Amino acid sequence: MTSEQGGTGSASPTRDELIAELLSLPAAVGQAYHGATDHVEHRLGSEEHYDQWLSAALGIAGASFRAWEAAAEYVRSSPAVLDALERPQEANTWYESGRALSAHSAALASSFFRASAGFLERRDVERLPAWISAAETLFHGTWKSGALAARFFEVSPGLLDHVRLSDLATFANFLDHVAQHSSELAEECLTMAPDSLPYVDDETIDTYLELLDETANRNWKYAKETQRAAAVALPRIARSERQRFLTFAINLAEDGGKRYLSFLAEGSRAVSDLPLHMHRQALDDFEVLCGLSEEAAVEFLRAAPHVLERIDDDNLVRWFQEGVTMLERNEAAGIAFFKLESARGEALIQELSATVSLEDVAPILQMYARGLTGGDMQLRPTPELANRSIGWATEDRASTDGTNVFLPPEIALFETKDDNFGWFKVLCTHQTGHLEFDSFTFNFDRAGNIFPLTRPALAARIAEQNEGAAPRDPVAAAPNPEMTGVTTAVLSDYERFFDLFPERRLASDLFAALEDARVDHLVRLHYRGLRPAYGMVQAAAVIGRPAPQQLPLRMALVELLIRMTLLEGDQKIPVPQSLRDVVERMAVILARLRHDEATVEDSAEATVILYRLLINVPNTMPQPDLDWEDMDLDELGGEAAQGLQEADSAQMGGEEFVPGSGTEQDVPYQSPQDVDYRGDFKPELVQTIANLRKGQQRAEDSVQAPQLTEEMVRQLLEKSAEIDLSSVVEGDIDDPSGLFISSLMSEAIEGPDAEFNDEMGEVGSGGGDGEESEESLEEQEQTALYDEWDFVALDYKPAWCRVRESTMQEGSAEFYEQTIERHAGLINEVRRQFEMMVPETYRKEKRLTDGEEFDLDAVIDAIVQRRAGATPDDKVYWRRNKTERDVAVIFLLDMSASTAEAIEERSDFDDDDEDIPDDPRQYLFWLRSRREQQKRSYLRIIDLEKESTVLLIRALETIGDQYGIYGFSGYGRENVEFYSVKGLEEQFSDRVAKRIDGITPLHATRMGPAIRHATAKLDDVSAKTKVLFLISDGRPQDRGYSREGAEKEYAVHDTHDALVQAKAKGIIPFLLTVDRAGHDYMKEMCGDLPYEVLADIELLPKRLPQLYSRLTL
Amino acid sequence: MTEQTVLKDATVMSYSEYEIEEYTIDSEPYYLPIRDEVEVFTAAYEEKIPVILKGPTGCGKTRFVEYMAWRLGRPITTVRPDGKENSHGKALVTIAAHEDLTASDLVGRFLLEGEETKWVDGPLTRAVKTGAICYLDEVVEARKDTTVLIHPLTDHRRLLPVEKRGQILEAADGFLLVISYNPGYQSALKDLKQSTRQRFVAMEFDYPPREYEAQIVLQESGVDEDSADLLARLGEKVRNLKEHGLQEGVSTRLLIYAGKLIARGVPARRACDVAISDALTDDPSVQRSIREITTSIFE
Repeated sequence: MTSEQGGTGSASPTRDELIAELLSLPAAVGQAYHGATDHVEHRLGSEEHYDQWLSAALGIAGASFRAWEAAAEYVRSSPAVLDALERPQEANTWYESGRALSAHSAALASSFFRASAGFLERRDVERLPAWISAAETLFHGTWKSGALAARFFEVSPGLLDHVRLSDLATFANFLDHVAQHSSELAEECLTMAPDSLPYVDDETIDTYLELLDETANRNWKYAKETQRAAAVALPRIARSERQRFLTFAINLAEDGGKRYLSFLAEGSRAVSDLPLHMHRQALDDFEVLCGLSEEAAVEFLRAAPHVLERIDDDNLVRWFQEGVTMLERNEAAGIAFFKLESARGEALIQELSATVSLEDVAPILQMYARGLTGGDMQLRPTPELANRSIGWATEDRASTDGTNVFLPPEIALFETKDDNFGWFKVLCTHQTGHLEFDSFTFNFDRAGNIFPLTRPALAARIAEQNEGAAPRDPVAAAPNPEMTGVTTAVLSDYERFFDLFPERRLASDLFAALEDARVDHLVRLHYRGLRPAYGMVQAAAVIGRPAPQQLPLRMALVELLIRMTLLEGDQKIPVPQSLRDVVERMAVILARLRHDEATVEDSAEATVILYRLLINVPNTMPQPDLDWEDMDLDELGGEAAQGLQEADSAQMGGEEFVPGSGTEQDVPYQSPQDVDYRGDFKPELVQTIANLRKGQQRAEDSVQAPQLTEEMVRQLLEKSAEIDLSSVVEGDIDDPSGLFISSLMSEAIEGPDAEFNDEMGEVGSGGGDGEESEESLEEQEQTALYDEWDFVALDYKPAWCRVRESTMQEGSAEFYEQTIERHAGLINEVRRQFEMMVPETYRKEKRLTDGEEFDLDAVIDAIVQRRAGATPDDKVYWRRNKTERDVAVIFLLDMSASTAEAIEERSDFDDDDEDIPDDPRQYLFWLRSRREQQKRSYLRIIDLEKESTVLLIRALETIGDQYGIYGFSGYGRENVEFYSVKGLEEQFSDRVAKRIDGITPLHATRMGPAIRHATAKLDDVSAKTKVLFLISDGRPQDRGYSREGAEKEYAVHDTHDALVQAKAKGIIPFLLTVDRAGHDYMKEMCGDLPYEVLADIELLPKRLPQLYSRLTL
Repeated sequence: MTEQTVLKDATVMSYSEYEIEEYTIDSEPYYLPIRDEVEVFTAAYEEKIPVILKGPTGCGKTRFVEYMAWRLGRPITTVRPDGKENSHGKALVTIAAHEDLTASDLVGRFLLEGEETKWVDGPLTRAVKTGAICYLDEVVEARKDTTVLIHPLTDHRRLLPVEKRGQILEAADGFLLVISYNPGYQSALKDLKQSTRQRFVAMEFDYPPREYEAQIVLQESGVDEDSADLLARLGEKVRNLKEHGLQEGVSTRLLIYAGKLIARGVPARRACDVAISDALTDDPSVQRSIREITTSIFE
């Protein structure tokens, strides 16, 4: 193929000539021509214009080498371009521009032609030059720059939907900056533009481009990230604030670092977590902070959403101002404040927050609840109950499982802490009310105090009926075994009770409402101080309940019952006049149940009565002719109605339950909406769990008694209205009830407290315990949070370190025995030393001004003196003083990795001048034994710590001081490991001996939290003298246990603070280090607290008891 | 001993001073028997069997002894060593035991008078001589060597050796030793020795049941019936906290104090703060819990 055809333009060639010339170009041009010509001719209309078009193509093709490609593209895109033009005659400008381009680069021109239609659809043809010049900014004659410019043509028309043409030029400038360093990157930036620019609006675009340009100038590498980050960030921010946000980023970018990127990403995320109306405020504050400390400003944005979760908008201002004040005073403190790493800041948030979290009030409420119920119950968050998957599913409603009370994790319903706490108290009191007023000790056969007992008779009749009739079907027949002795013993009383009712759900709902009403009545009776809060909560509970007028009839009556249980006497409820007598009877029953002497059995009888009333009301959709009328509750349950009731109760016994009379038009019955403060009341389940536990107990005591089998439980939960299996077990499990039963059964075995025993898992003495219990104890890790002292910010970082306490793993007992053998002499010496420390119980003290008796010698002296005319000494008494040794001590061993370092070999091996045997066989033997010896002589610091521990134990056991031995190590603030070798309260045992061998070098040394944890332990015991003895091998260090510019001092200061705090609690802290270089930091770390740097580490076992005895005397 | 020290002119003197063995209970102390304690004590007294009263603080042990002293003293007209008749109650010598209570504190000691020593009887000796009821309160607090001293007094011998004078005293007929202790907060160290324990019959006291307590509070404090009921209820609830943060439940005594304050016009919740929650404990969270119970019960 010939590629070069000189397009020599003689004076106006004819059209045919033009076409012929065009077709003589490479085939692609011809193909394009044939595809386009008809449409172009049609669009251009005049011959003249068409000829112009043709000659333009030839002109383009002749502009440069390979320009025919551009020409082909020109021809091909012409129809679309002409379509886009309002007046096709204007195409001139277009192809003139194109021809100029194709003189530079055919490829560029091709792109131009191809993209032109897109441009012209959006902008006038006059604008073409501006567009082209933007693209030309990018083109520097190289192939790469050409490709970029071409790509620009391709991409940019679409962008014009969002930005101005001038912006496009700016954007091209930015791309050019980037391309100077990397055209690939520039191209990527360009490719991203359609995804990012749409988010930039007119007001923001300048700033946006400025940001891009700014960053490209400073650090072109971040160009793409900037673009991406901005694209992500902008939509997150309130429209009005976007520009300002970007300005901040530009300011931050000034240092050429990456900070502005994280600001874009995290700052925007933080702002987006704020409600829209807070965006301005937050950015205002941010701006203020920027003037003080950019770091603080960034931290502020990050923290603000979290803070706002806890306090309201107004208080955020106060919090912010406090932070600014701190920042002005001490920058580090201010930054810590906004990082939420300041104890003062945390305290302020707590103070400003109205939210009451269960965690904070649980100790108070638990004790309160224990006071009310007299039980050993625990107060736990509701999710814990739901997670046990034993029938409770909701995570935010209070409940009780009969032993413990569960409350939602936090309350933020009201604007003040007091009101929120009040709500907690009402929730708690209602639940404890169920316990205090015996909701769960329901006895099927026991009579109440108000209503006559009809249940057993009813059960008997139902049993008779069932016997008479042929068994309908096995499943239906099964739940009625009340009268057969064996099963009654294991069925819960509630199960028997609810078995009486064909419409179990209705009975269950009625009972719950009545029993809740009874409990509420008794709570209000006995706790009159709570009445105001209770009334408020009850009134609030009515709001938002479904209107009875909208409900099917039977459900409407249940709803009315619930409203009656919530409202006071003079309040009104809507009553359908046609059913007025039913409502009146309900009111009367309720009024009678609200009696000071009413028991749970009365609630049950009331349920029977109301069930009879309601089962005959069809559950039809409401009819308009019901004639609802608001009525006073007083009126409903008043005297007149009472009389009616008396007559009623006489005939109560005989009637049999019949299923609801209505049939087809009936709507299926649904339970009423929950009453929030009453929580989840599941009496049947609670009794079943209690029975399971009892059964378990009996089985353990090997008493022959009927047991609840899995089958029975399965039956129960299939019929019970209290359990919604689908909500208990999520996901598609084949056998949800199976899973439920197994967790229920294991609940019974483990007992209620198995999962959340908050007492320390102390290991019992004696090694007899099985493997199993040991494992479970090791798993049982206790954690505690401690603050950390930041000496730069002069503040604590709140709840900064998590100490994880567990029992030390056991090694072999050999180590203990061997150490005792090896150091028999030293042990005896130390023990003697210690025995001398034990004081005599009674010491006679003489020469006192007052005492038990005269010291006759002193009396005589005094008289002699007086006779001699001198002033006698009046100290003439003696007394016996009782002195007791009352010492508690914790030894804290550093188990950091550095304790694995070898110390110098023991001297007695080194200079052995043994004869080396001549006989080679003997020599080998000698060599091996020598190596063995040397291996054993390789001694680590930790080994000495362990030996010293053994020695101490021997000594301490002789004087009877209370002591605990713990080791600590860890990595990072979240993992401060704390191992108990011997708990403070634990007796010495074989297991303790074995655990000593378990002491091994582990990770780092974060001393502060370990000391604080040990301090807390000592603080819990009562002893006159308390000692915290810390043995370490070097300075404290850990990941993050430092601060920029003060790497070492930070840890030293925190440790110092921990020690000072221990001292403030009346504990004598003592630091012993085997680090010979310890003098330089120990002085600072201990201040005026006692410490010792042990020059010769070998002395440790000997020195330790000496120091101890001196400390505790 | 003489009796000239009885100074009872209340219009002049703001206090009354008695010789220790002459202190008698003149008017009937209020005591509401819960069970058969009055009958049992009377029988023990008549049989000269020493009595231990066990029970938490402020549940009425001391009041019971006072009541019994009055009751036992009144019908039986005891003749005192000085020949005079005691028309009031029975003499009651109360000794509060403490850590430093020594044998000499009980038995007596030599004092200096001029340049001579002079023996002065201790309260126990005086009670033994006069045949009074000697009530050793909180006996476990006393040192062990002190408690041993009462051994010969508390068996059939009824002897008090006064070593320093080389004497042995035989107790007068009406003498009875009553000791009290609170098993609640004694540590293992402060348990009563078996040899001591087994010389007494033990009567267990506890806080009265709610209805009784309400009556006692009503009677003692002069508060209205309703408040007395509520106080008794509060007492019951607070006692549930024993060992859950409280070493001891609230005593009837404190409930009475609260009642008195209420009767004097202090608002009920405030009265309960000062007389109950703040009095019982220094732990702020326990105080708060008790306060929550208080605010639930009282308006």
